[in-house]
Amino acid sequence: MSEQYMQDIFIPSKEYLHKKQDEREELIRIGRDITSYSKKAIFSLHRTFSENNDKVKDLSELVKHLQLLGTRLSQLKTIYDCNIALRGSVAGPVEELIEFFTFGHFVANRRLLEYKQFITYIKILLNATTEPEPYQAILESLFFNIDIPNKYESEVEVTFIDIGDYLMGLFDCTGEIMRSSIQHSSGFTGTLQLETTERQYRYLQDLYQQFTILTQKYPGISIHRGVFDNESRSKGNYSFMKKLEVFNNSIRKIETTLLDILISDKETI
Amino acid sequence: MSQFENFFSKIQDEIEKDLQQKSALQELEHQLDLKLIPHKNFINELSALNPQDLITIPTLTSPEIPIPEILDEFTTSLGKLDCKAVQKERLLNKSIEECAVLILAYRYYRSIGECFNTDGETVKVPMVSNSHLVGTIGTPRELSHLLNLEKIDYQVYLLALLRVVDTIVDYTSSTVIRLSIGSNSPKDYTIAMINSEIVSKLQKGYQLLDLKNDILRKKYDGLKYNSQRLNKIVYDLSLRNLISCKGEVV
Repeated sequence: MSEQYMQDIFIPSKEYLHKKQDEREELIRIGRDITSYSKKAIFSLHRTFSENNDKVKDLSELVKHLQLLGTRLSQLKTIYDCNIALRGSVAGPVEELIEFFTFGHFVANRRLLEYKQFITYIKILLNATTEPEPYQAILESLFFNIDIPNKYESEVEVTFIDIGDYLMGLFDCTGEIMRSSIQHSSGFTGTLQLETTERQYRYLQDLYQQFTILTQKYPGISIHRGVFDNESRSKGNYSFMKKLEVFNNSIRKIETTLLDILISDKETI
Repeated sequence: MSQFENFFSKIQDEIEKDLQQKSALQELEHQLDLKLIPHKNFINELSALNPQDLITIPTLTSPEIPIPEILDEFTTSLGKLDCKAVQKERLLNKSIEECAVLILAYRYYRSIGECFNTDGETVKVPMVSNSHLVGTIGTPRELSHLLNLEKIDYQVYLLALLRVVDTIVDYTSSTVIRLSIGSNSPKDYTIAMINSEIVSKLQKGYQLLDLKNDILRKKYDGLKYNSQRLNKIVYDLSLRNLISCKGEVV
C-alpha cells in the first residue's frame, strides 16, 4: 500500500488530471469533426449554388452534414460547460462553423447573416435529433428566408460562442466568397454575366471598409477566447492583422480577375 | 445605412464592454493583491525564524482566519462583474492559487515549529496530518476546507504546492546560512535533512502524474533542481558530520 501522502494528494490528483486530459482530447476530436464537416458543407454550398438559376436546390447533402454538426455541437457543449478553460480549443471549429453559415446566407441572399439569427440556428442544432426536418428548416431559413416553425426553436444557452468569434469567422467567409467569385467569373465572358462577380466584389469592399474603420479605432484589436482586447503588438493583434491582410488579398484577386476578363472582352469586340 | 454598419456598431459596443470589464478585473485583482500583502509579509517573517522558534508564532496572526474571508469577498465581487465566464474562472483560479500558497506555507511552518519542539532524539515530522499531528503538507481536502471552498481544482492545488516547495527550499538555504553564523542547538541543521526528504517525497508524488505540456509541467520541471539543491546541502552537511540530530518524515 502506498504512503498516506500519496493516497491523500497524488492518487486523486492523477485521477483528476486523467479525467481532464481525456475530456480535453475528446473536445479536440469533436472540434476536428466540426471543422471537417463545416468544410464539407462549404464545398457542398459551392456545388449547390454554382449555377445562378431558379432550379430547385437539392439540400439533402447539406442536411446530412448539419445532422452530424448538430450531434457534435451538443457533445461539445456538454464537455465545454464543465471545462470552460478549454475555450481556446473551441474557437477554431466555431469559426469554421460561422464560415459555413455566413457563406451559406451570402451565396443565396448576397447579405450578411445576422449574429442573432446564427445563434438561433445553433440553438436548434444543439437540440440534435435524428429527424431531418429541423435541419431542413434551418437551411430553408438560411437560404430562402423561410421562417423556422416555432416547434423547432430552442432556449438552450449557447455558452461557447461570442460575437468576437463571429467576426473572426466572417474573415474566413471572405475567402470563400473570393473563391466563389472567381469560379463564377471564369467561363463567362461579357459584362452582363459578370454582374454577380461585381456585386460580390462590392460586398467585400464594403465589408473591408468596415474592418478598416474598426482597426483605425482599435489599432491593437484582438480576440482571445471570445474576449476583445486592444493591445498593440500582441499575438492576437498580429493574427487579426494577418487575417485582414489575407482579406485584402482576396479583394485584389477578384479585382484582377474582373479586370482581365473585362479588358479581354473589349478586345474581342 | 449599409448592411454592415449595424453589425459593426454591435462589435464596437462589445469591444468597449470587454475593455471596461478588463479594467474592472484588473482593479479587483489589484485589490486582492493589496489585501494579501500583510499575509505575504507575515509568511516572509516566518522564514527568518529558526525551526524551534516557529512555535512562538502567535496564532492570532494566522492567515487561516482572514484569507478565506478575503477570498470569499473577492469571489462575491467577481460574481457581480458582467464579464465572460472564461475570464472569471481564470482570475478566480489565479486568486485561489495565491491564497492557497499562503495557507500551505503557513501550514508548513506551523507543523515544523511543533515538531521541533517535541522531545526525542529524532525529529519526526508528519508529511500529511494524522490523528495526532498536523502534517507539513496540507492536502487538497484540508485546503478546500481551510479556504471555505466546496472543492479545490487539483491543478490549482498542484501549482500552489510547487510554489510552496520554492518556499521550503529558500527556507532551508536561509536557515543553514543563518545557523552557520550562530548555531547553538543540536537540532539546528536537521531542518535541511527534513526538507530534503519532504521535497523528495513530493517529487516522487509528482512523478506519478501524467502531465501534459502546460504551466504545471513547466513548474514541475523546476522541482528536480530544487530537490538536487537540497540533496547537495544535506550531503555537504553529512560529509562534515554537521547533522547531529536525525530528522525523519513520516
